[in-house]
Amino acid sequence: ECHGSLGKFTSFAPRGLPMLPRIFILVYWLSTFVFGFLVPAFLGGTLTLRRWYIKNVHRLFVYCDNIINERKHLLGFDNESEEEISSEEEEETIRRSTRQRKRKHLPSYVEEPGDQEEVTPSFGFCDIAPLVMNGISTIRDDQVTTRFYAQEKRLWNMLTRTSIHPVFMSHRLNIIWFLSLVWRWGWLLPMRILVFLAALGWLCLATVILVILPRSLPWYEKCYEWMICLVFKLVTHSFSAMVKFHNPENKAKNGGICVANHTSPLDAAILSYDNCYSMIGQRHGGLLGLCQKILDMTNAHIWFERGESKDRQMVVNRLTRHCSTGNTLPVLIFPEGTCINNTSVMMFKKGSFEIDTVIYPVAIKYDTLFTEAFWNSSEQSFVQYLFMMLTSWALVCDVWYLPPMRRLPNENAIAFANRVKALIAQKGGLVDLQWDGMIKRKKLSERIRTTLMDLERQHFLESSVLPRNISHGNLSTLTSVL
Amino acid sequence: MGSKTSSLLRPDEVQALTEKTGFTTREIIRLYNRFACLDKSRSGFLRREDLQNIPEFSVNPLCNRVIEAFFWESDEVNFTQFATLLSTFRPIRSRTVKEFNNRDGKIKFLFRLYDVDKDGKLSKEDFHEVLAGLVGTTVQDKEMEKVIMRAICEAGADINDDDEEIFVTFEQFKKTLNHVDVETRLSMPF
Repeated sequence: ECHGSLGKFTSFAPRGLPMLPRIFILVYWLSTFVFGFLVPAFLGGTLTLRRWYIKNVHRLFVYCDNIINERKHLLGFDNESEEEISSEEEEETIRRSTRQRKRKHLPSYVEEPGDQEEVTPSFGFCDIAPLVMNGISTIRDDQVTTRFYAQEKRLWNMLTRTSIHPVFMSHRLNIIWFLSLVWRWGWLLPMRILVFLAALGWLCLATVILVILPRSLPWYEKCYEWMICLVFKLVTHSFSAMVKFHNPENKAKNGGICVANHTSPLDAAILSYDNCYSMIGQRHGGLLGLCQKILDMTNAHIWFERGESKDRQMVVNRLTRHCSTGNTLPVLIFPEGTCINNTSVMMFKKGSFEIDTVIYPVAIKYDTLFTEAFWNSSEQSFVQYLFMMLTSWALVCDVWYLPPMRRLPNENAIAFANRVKALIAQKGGLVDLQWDGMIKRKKLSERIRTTLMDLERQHFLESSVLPRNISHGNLSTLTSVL
Repeated sequence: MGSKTSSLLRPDEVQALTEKTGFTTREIIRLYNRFACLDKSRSGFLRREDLQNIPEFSVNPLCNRVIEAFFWESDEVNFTQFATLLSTFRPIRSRTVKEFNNRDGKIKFLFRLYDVDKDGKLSKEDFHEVLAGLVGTTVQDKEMEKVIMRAICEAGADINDDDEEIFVTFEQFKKTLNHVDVETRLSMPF
């Protein structure tokens, strides 16, 4: 059999022709890979080519959106628009009453004349309406649970994973979708995997070189910076990244701590594109763990075993030690502790803000139309997530370096953390929330729940006729609890 | 959000729901995504814990009562029931008033919220449980009692010597709300 298959192979050789297409394809593939991806990645990329790509992909989305709207009109979904037009006035009154409700709710009782002596107030059954409606509106949509899912897109970006139209729309759309599938899975994916492998290869090579070279060389640091940044440049290029860095003069310097909002595991790679950081995190197994070990060879990173990261005091101690020993690279920390969907910033853990050093805040905002960068760890495994990223259009994001901040002398760590968080949220156009991102995995603690509920009660009772408690809750404990 | 599940909603189902509840197609799709988001166990049903897991809802003083009014008929709701229940709070527009979101439907929800023992009548104990939970644990019982008695009297309930037999029926409840703008107060934009 072996001989037979070989025989088939050799029988092709004298004729020559069928081998030629094979060689041609191989050469074509390799050359486009080298010149289209690898070289630009090494040189920092040709921005113009990528901009052109993004612009035309966006045009494609808009075109498809127009097709969809046309079809909607034909299929009779336009009863929606009719309804909306005829009831705008009513919508406005509802909205106004909702706003009023959220401000101060007035009791519905009417003063009876000549009844000033009467002590018992009249309670209307509908007085609780504001609370009821607040409850129903949080069932309908709330500020917190939506942050742990990918956000809705305004245009369909040709990926079934973000399909918002359950109904068959049009043949044109299906054809375009199929072509985009071929483009992404047949062309982009293999290219990207090759670039990713090249990045890993370069990591090994660079580590070898950096270990061999003596540290005492004057240009060692520059060399290190260039080589390691190149590793991450290649990694981000393997996701077709288009990152725009704003205010590079505020880049983190040695001995400081860099804090950023967290959306995806790639955040660290994107930030390392531009500047070198010491990473901090848990030790993983597998490929990621291997990379951690390799990175460890050339610089001091802070890795924890699984159990250790729960011990907050130990984390803080190691951080302090790291920042105070000489000229160490800035530490990159994501104080939210978990991935959020890039529409909001959740509570920052105070640990890293207790240390006496300069904080360099960074805001990262992804354009989710082209790639959904948010990793929903409860729905996707890491490998699935990587595949989603590798088969998406492009990774477009903005990174803003904010001016360095220090803790004020009379400010505690929590207040400082909130101050930094507010600035990051404002710069990135994100919603500033007080909730703890850890709610993603576990329920709200009873203590916080009852405290917040008491606050709601008092707020309602201020304008209600119901008798109040004599002792009001201790509001100052609220800020420390949150 | 929940993108894969929205494709499980068939067009005829959407149509049926539109007719029944008065929601537009777009609103139904968004509600379905919301339902899928809350239904973490992917069972197709929502239970009490699923609603209690919403952080902002769990700190509402009336959250338990709203949940009971929600799960009035059964311990779990599917999407049709979910959408129907929420349609109670649709604003009343002249063309799309259905049986759920008319004035009676809204008042019925409020009645169920108060009716703790589910007997179709509001007793003193019902009121006490709801309002005491609202005010907090350390409440002055006598004050509360007076407020409740006054509210019951104004509803026109029969006061006889036997304290236990004081009830407010649905009709009496509705009458006390005659001058209240229930349509606006119990509606929200979707």
